[in-house]
Amino acid sequence: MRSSEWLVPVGVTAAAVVIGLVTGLGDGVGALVVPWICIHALLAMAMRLVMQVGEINLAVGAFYGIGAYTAAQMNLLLEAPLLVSVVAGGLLAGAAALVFGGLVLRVSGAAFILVSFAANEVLRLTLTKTEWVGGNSGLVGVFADPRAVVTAMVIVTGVVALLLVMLERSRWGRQFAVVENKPLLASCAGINPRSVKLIALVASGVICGVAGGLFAHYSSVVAPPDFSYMISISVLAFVMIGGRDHLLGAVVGAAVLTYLTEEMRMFGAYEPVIYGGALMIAMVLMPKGLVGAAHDVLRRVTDSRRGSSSDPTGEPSPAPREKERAS
Amino acid sequence: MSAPTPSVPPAPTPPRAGGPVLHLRSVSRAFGGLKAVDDVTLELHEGEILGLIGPNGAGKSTLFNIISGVHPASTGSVVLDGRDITGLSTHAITRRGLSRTLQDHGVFAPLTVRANVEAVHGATRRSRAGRSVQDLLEACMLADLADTVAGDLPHGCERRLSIAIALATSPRLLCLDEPLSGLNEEETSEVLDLVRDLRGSWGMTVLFIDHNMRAVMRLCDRVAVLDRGRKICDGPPHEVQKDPRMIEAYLG
Amino acid sequence: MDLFVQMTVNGLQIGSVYILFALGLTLIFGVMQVVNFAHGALFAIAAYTAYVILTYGADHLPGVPAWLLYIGSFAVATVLLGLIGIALYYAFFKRFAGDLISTLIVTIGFALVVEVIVRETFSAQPKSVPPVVEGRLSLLGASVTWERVVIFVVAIAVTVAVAAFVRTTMTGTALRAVTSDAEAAALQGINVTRIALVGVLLATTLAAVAGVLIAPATVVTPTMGFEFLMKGFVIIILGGLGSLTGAIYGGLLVGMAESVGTQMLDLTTATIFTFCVVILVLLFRPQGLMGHAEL
Ligand SMILES: Nc1ncnc2c1ncn2[C@@H]1O[C@H](COP(=O)(O)OP(=O)(O)OP(=O)(O)O)[C@@H](O)[C@H]1O
Ligand SMILES: [Mg+2]
Repeated sequence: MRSSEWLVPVGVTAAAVVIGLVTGLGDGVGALVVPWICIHALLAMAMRLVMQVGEINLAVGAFYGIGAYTAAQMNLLLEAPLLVSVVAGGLLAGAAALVFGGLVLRVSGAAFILVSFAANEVLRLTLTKTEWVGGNSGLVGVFADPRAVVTAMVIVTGVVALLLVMLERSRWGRQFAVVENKPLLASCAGINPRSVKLIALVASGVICGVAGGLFAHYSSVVAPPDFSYMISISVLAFVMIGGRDHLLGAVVGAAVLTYLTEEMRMFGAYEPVIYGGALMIAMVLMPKGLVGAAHDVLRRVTDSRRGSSSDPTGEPSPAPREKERAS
Repeated sequence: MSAPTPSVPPAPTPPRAGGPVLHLRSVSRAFGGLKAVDDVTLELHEGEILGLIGPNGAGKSTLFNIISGVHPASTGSVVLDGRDITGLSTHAITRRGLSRTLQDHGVFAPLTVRANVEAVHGATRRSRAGRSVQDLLEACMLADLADTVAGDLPHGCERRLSIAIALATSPRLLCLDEPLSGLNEEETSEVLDLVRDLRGSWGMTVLFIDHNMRAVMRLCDRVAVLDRGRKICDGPPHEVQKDPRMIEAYLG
Repeated sequence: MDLFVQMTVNGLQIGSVYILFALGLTLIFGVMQVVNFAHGALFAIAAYTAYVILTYGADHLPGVPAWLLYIGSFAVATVLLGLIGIALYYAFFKRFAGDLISTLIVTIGFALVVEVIVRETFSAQPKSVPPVVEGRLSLLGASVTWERVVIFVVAIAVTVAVAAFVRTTMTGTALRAVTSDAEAAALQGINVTRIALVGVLLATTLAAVAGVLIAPATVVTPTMGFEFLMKGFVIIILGGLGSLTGAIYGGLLVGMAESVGTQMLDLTTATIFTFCVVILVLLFRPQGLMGHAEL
């Protein structure tokens, strides 16, 4: 990888981290939304990671919950420092993803969506039944310095984003793309689609767990309702509305929708309407999401300025998925 | 992976040089009531180019799918290099040295030519131990096009890329499914030269399906004919060409 | 023995409603490859329709018998959901034909919006629906309310009717052809669009019947759609995606598991237990009990 190719992602991430730290540690609306934007962006990037191997994992909320409960218990029982608890949350969520994926990844597509959705609810129900982690009322009193938590959130989000950009450009990223679009070609090439999917799922689980650990320290309370199917669905909304073709899309979707819901909060609990309505409208009007649409507009502008419209529609060409047949 | 010259004399049963690389034993496959492949027995020897022909729907691709583990066989067994590979999954079979191209989906359009080969080359230990990406591109006459996006390639080059991708897994046996379909004269002879070259200088064993009868007869050492799932004859091209069963299959 | 009979009776009764719900889900998936998150929302709308009609009748129409209102609810809910189904079909399903992700997303969006509209209209408070038939039936030492007997009988009757429809009519045969291979069906001259619409209407009818049927026996809440959706998903995975027979077996199995589990432990634990069983089944039959192996 040439170093010049890193200029843009590193620059953008660094700028975002600086803005995040300044607004997140200030006392305007940023202090309210920046932590949530970080959590949601982490979850959205994790969701997208699995989408890159062609599956939709609606158990994101479950891995997030496992991370949050683990980190909370580390803090409460062992008084572990912030980063240790968060890392432990990430690792345990990753382990859970390994077990889940190992059992379930023999199904794919629609069946995987359905099983993961059910798994998310089953985890939530299990939490309500487990007295050791507080049952219905959850765990209370996770303590950490709020400024340290916000700082950690912003930096971790930046680091994860950069790692994912690296991954996308690596050998692994290419294999992901082949597995997503041409699973048959992948297996003819000696790639085991199931293990590639498992790797993506575990990595995604770790990121969700880290997000959960940060959440636990930020809110100081964790309870089963925080990890219902609603969180998985919201995260899917972030990715789709931001644009699934770019990593930036996941972050932008998370930021925009989180900010909008915060602004709308005064009108009552309309969060689901915003996500629901936005999802329906976006799929019809803007199937590539905000970042995809912006990308198209930019291309059109630069093309017309150059006067070279070799491609009259201005469409970038990730070919639509065709059905792959072996004969 | 070049062919090791056999130091021991060949086993007495197969009359041709080298042991069978691939051995199909009474392989069948049914879809519902339709027997797409019906009791096919076939041997393929080291360094041989075997053509597989037959009218549309004869079961050629289905046979490929069985060999490469895409569909399991209903009955019968597939032996690669003396090891039974029946029932293994596709990627596992590829890792044991059998590589196939897909009829329509042989390349990954959004990536460049080099990235296509690299993605596959990096995937397994076996392939990383084989020839380098650059060697593969050069062998397939794609070195000059390495940075072209695969979706933009002309037909002939795309076909050679799909062969390069198959070669990147470092196979002992290469299975090509209609590599000539839709190609013009010039592109056809480029692909034929490539296949001859692979056999000549790398010692590759090749199983070759195509409808271009003239090309198959010119290229292959031996030709097998499938009709309605059954193997109806098998032998050197000049014999097969004259075989009444084969003429009947194509006319009737 | 009494306990055993009681558990069986309960299991059959719960299972019969699950079957109706799951049949609708699996039908839409089979015909159009749509993972229909809107199905739960439609089901909830039907339940609220019954709630509105039955409470209104109880308060304002003292002369009208409850069973008549109940039958009216079926009619209203079926028409209402049918119209919504047609709208969904033309707005989304047709546009995104075969695109699993897009249809998934829009139906999730629809379900979220419906949930909020319902909550804003009726509040988040669980509503209980006035009973339609009263009294209990004693059977081999078990005791069930007549309400539940009616539910069971209607659910089984509708299931049989659907089975008869898809097995004996021309349209039903076409429906099965499209489910097993849409491309091949189109080549045989089947009008896939029309059949898809039939599938949608059949599914919304099933959602309407299930929703109205369950309403008097339970409380209706804005989130009931999502709760049933999860059970429906578990059932169709268990039975095999797109398989109608599978949905019937799956519904019965999950109903029985829940009945036994609730008797021995509690509903939540029973749900968790059922899920574990499904995961186990997937280990050995990834295509579900009745599904075809994917080629
Ligand atoms: N997945 C499948 N399901 C059902 N039937 C199939 C399937 N694949 C192939 N068939 C049937 O099996 C028979 C053999 O098909 P196959 O594709 O192997 O023929 P072929 O010899 O490769 O033909 P062509 O020269 O047209 O490529 C055909 O009748 C085909 O319809
Ligand atoms: Mg073929």
